[in-house]
Amino acid sequence: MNFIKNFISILLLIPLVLVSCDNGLVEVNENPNGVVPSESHPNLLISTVMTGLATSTTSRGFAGDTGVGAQYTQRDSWSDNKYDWGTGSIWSTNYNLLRTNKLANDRAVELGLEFHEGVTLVLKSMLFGALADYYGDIPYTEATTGNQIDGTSRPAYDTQQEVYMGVIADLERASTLLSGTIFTDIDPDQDVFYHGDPEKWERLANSLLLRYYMRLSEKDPSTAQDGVVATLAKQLIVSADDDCVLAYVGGTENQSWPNSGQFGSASDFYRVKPCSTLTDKLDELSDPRMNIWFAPVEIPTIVVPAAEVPGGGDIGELNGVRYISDATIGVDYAIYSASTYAADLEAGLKLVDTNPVYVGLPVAVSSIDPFEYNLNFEGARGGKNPYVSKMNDIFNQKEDGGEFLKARLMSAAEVHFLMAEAAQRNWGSDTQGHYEMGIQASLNAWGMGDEYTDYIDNVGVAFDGSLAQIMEQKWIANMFNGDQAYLDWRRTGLPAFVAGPFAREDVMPLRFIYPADEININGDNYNIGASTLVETSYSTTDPNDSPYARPWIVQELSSPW
Amino acid sequence: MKKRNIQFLMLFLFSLFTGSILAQIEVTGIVSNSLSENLPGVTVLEVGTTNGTVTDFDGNYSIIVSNSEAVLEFTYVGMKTKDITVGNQTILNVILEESAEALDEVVVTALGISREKRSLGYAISEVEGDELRVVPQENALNALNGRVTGVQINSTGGAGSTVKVIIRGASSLTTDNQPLYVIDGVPIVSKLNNIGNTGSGVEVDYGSAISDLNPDDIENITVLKGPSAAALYGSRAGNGVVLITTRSGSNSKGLGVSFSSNSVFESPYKFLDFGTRFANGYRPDPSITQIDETSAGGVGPALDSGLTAIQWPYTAEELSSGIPVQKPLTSQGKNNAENFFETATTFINSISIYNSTDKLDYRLGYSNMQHEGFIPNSDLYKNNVSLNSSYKITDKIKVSSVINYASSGAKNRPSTSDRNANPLQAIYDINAHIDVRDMKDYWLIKGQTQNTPYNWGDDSSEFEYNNPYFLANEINNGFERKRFFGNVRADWNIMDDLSLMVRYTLNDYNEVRETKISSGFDRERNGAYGITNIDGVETNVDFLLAYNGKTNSDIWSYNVSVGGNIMKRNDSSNFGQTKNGGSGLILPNVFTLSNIAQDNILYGSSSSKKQVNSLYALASFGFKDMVYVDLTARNDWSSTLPESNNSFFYPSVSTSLLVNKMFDMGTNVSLLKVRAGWAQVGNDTDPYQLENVLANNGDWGSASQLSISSSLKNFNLKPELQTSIEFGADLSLFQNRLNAEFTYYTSDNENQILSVNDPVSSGFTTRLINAGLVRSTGFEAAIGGVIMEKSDFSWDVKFTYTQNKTTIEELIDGTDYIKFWGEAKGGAYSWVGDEVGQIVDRKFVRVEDPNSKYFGWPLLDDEGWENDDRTLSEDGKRVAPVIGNYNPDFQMGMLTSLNYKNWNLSMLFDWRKGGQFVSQTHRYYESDLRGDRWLDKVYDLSDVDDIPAYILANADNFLSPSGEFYPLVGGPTAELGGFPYDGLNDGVFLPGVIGEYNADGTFNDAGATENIGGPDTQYHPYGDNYPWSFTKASTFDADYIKLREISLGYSIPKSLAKKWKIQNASIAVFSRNIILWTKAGINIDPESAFQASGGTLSQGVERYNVQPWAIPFGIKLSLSI
Repeated sequence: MNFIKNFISILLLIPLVLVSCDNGLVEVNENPNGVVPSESHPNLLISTVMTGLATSTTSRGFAGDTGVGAQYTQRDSWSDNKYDWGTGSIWSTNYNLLRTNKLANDRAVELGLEFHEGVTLVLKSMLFGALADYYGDIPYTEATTGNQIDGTSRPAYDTQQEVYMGVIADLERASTLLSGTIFTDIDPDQDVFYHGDPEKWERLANSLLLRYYMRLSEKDPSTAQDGVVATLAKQLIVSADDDCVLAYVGGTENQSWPNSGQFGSASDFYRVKPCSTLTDKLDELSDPRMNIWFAPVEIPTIVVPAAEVPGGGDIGELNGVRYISDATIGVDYAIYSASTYAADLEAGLKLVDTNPVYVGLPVAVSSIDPFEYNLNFEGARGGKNPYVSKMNDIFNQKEDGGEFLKARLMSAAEVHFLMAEAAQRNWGSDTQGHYEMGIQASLNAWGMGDEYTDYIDNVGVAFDGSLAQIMEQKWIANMFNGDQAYLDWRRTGLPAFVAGPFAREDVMPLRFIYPADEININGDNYNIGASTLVETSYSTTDPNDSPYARPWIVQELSSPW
Repeated sequence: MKKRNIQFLMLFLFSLFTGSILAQIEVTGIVSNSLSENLPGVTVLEVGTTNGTVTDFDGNYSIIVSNSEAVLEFTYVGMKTKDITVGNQTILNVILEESAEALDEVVVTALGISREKRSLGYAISEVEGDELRVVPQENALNALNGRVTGVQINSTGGAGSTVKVIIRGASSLTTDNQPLYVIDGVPIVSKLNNIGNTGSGVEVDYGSAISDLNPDDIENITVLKGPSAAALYGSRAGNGVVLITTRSGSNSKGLGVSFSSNSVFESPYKFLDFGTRFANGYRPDPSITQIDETSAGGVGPALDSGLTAIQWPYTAEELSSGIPVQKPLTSQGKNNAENFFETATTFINSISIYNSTDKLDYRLGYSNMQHEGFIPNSDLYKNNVSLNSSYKITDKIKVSSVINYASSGAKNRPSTSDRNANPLQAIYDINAHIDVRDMKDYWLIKGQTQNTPYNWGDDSSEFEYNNPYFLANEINNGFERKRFFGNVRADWNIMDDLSLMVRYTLNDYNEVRETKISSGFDRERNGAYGITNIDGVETNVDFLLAYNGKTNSDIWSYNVSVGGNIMKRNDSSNFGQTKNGGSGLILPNVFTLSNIAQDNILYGSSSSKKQVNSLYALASFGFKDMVYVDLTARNDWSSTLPESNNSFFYPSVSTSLLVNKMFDMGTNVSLLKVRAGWAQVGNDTDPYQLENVLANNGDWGSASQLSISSSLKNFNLKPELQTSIEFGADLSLFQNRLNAEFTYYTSDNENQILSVNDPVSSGFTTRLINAGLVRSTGFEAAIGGVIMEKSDFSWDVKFTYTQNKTTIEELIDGTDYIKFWGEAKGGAYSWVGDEVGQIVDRKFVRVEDPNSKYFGWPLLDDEGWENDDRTLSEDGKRVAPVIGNYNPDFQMGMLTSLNYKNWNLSMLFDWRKGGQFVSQTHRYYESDLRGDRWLDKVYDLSDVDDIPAYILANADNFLSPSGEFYPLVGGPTAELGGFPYDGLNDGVFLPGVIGEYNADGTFNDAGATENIGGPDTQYHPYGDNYPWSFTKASTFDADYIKLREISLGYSIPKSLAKKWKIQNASIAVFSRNIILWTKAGINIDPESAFQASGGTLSQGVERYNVQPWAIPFGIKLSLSI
């Protein structure tokens, strides 16, 4: 038995050995695969936020909700362009970017990096500003604090007004920080907007201030006026060289211009069509930018006497031209015109667009996918309807698109039009000068600078002093930044967009609805946030959280409707 | 007359095996047991012949044998078989001993400790290797299906795909719930996330680790189901343990060699239902002169109705002249797909050499498997070498070792899950007018452009659909996995009662996955290439000191053991590939990393480490062979948990009462045991779950992009804790002719390491927490017995029954539900109080005002479309309707074996009752109107004069929540019930009411428009109507009955074996996995309802995971010398 006792006492030592191994376990669990957030450098994070912000804004503005919403483009398939707005993707996109931006901002403050603090404040303002623009009240003060000891995973909502004031305050602080002279740790490669140039960032901060003060022009004119007047005295983006742009590097889908058919399905590209609101206007103004944005229609259509239709019958094609018998017009078909097409559709007629060069897709022209437009009888979804213009082939690239394929977040053109508008409202000066500089900056950006002198004298372009004309040219110049075009319309009702015959309602919506996750997971706060929306006659069938309910910025106002 | 003929025929057949009868001797006698009780019904057989008889009620027998050298074999259930040479005896009285096998059955339990089964206080299931080999399986686990209770096994696709095993329900909400496999003491983790994704739209299942085990090497499998049984394995055993012992040479009598050869041929015979009535297109317009080959829609002009159109394939004359010709539109019939598939073949050859001497025993085995699949150019191979040996150094010390080397791989594993690269989808997307054989020559321009349908006049490279032959042949997902695993152990019998075991185990594997995609694939037009290396090493060092205490009296007995284990695991992987959907390769079809342009290459590496130290002890006490009590205790220290929480302790206790020993229950009751057990098991987590590191999102030009993950980790994680209670009874009656086992259990899984959803406005979309209580309850039963036993005939039947229900009892405040997956507009969500596995849908919006005359009618929008409500929950309550559950109500297996002389017929049936699955295949297929099922569902009311009146008269069906889910009225053509619409007759409408609610919540009856076929009805083209917004449209019942295995075998008689000087030889023909019946009737195996997404498998939903059904035919030859 002694043997056993000895043996057991030896065994009892084994636990001690094992327990002492316990100390090494913590080291085993140190992750070798990356940097922990608390040791990260903002340089590596700001690039992520910039590319995410720029690409998502352009995806939205080219053929997403706001590109279609601002009537730049229409979707040809798997979409009805009916303005039946849902939750929009901007909510999750922006909050996801704000998470990374917050870490970058926190680290910049901890490390005392003023350039990076300024940059992250500008990015924060753009991200939160867009959220407030599109939803109304949103989580702001408590947002993106889920990982902090004193933070919350169920953030309360701030009012839309509070968010706008916060955005403006952050931009003012960023402007001050960026106006300094000594900065450290700037890595030009990581700053994909301005290559580490603080002065350009300062101009961007100030230009954004101008944008956001002007956002309040109808709802809170006195704040807007004071802010605009003060900001006009600051350094602004006045040359297209200073535009806030991100050049697409190409190669993969998420680094290339949206809806390029070179990735995934070839039809991605064909599903985006020019909107006739824009093609009609560019036609009317003989605008040279038409040629860089759109491709001429493959098979133009002409209406001829029945006897001249090749092969007899009502329709015939010959040598790339389609002929339609005039006997059908008013019987089966109607020739498209912006002013009559809705009534013609309601009368059961099909539309024929005889524009010889650019055939756009009218707004909300069909109750289903509009790929059959312009008598494309044998058409298919995602097909290449030859009777409607496509986007210019430059947007269907796989490689770096040179000087044109750039996500444009803030432009000299926009700033000039803002300045023109300020002057028109007597908050600044030289309305016409800024109007013309806005046009010139846009033509420059699209490689059409040479056309300026011809274009500026065209009928409808030559300045008539009206706000409507400023807003019309601003809309054209904001091409592919659908956010700003749509939000300008919501603020001023200009250009006077019509919702289209098959739109959900007779008017365009005022906002996106909150995403399901907010309702499902953050319900208590959501209910408070959504309760400040004001019902309209178009939102009665919806819950309070309707695209047609009024957020604060348009409450008690007559514009846009 | 007929009967006599059959008897004659059988006599004739048997005489072939019996030989002639010579000098005859009559032998008589009495057979009794050790208590001198005479045994009726004992089989007496002259060995090597069919000559036999059975003892009468008094145990008497009489038999005439051929000569004095004849051997008589006495067999009786529950008794040891006895062979006696007749010699010159004419009276032979025989005493049979009780078989230890039945009453003293020894089973392998945790840590490999052998125990008498009757002393166990918990249920375990055992399957012998021989039983597993009746019908050869590519993966041994498939053979457990229906054989053991409490275990649900799903193979997720064809050969070589991941096998999912769930023991007693999926109790963890976040892990994959896979059991721990322990092969000769070597723990092997067999995860479900074996999905590779190189190339856009390419998702490939490379199979799970456990498939590396050679079924031929298995001695037996023991399934430790509950924590009571598995507690000693600690934190890894929360989902149960599958203990596998491999064959050794220890049982052999001298040198032996075994050889077996299996060949299996599988011809597919059942396919997805093809639509054959319409050509491609969006509307069935008979005036169309050219088919739109690229349209997704399947309702173009009607086929086989005399129409003509320009269509692919274009003839040489058409192409050379440039003038297209309208050809008749004809369908290619229902069996178009059949022409694509090939007969699958599997060949498995195994050989083993074994020996046993006083000092040394060994078994050396080699096995080779070659498989070619249904899909052309798909294969799988496996080579296994194993050496199991032991050597007695002294009487007290034995060293032994098991070494396994497995190399498995494939030249190509087809993508069978998601869309795009999946040939199965491509074959079913072929336009109904195209003969699949026209695509067999899949190059239009070799190495560059596929030969696939395009529209006349278009560029032939601008196709929308891939050629299935191209996908099968030009997207090659190869892999090779090499695994080396085994152990070295020493056993020291220190004293009679005291022994020590020390062991080192190793599991080392390397897997290389290589994908080569030729130019021409629509999502990788310039081809793609990628190579991934996955490495893993796990070592365990353990010891067990066991003291076997016997007191002098027979009243008390006890055993005490203590042990410890150190587990270390290193995993790493690295990969290089073209960016998915990027610019592809520089030189076409040169598959090297250096052939990828700098800005298009994606590469990465990662590694992780884990260590767990453990100490454990167990004690078992026995009293008079009546009462047994087991106690276990274990403490783990895991590296994956924070320092303050990384030590966790858990105990178990179980007891077994042998009631038949306590009370005299007569000779008919051999065993009545009741048992009870209580146990806890802790569970740690994966490495690095405490804090996130920054993710690298790749470069943008020269800028690096780092980001912080939206999944928030947790510095304060605690171990999960699973507590289970089980009760059961084991019963053996009539000398073990009838055996039954029953077990009821509950298992509470608390402090689960859960990922809960957060609103993204908090900055994070998920957060890791410890929370919740998930409860599984279940009932398992196995009943088996000998139905008939005659001299040369016996019939055994065994039933297994498994039922489990897992519910979420608690979550944390602010989290109302857990989402398992979201697909097809709905998903698998469970709220607190709900069962796990629920499938929920969007709500179909109906008039909710009970005062409205339209109460309950579908509430349509202005254009006559249905409305769906996607709200999941409001105020913590579920709004989304539950439409099913992917778990079964119960599963039953029936195993039956008939033996007649040297013939054996065995069958294994498996019945799944209840449960549903979502067929995304049908969702996509039918929304493109490619199958006939949806067309057949649409109501053709062309014979009805007054449609509105008819619909009102049948409001219960058309307008009620309890009626048809989506009762569309109309059809694609006038003949099929279509209404005039926009120049054609393909109008359909959805019955309901167009209207709205007033501000006060009441329905506006006056302003409402009835949409029931009257004048204001809103029609749509047929091609646009599919309930795409609702999961229910493509949710099906998962019930099935399968004949898992059937085998007819013949072994040569012992006399012949003796003559040929061999141990045994046999031949068998077999088949397996024959789907006899599915409730859904859509030609999809509900068992394969898995969808690969995000690197793992979602259960209860499939998307083009649709292997054709087949009835395999196999032949097995075995020979032992």
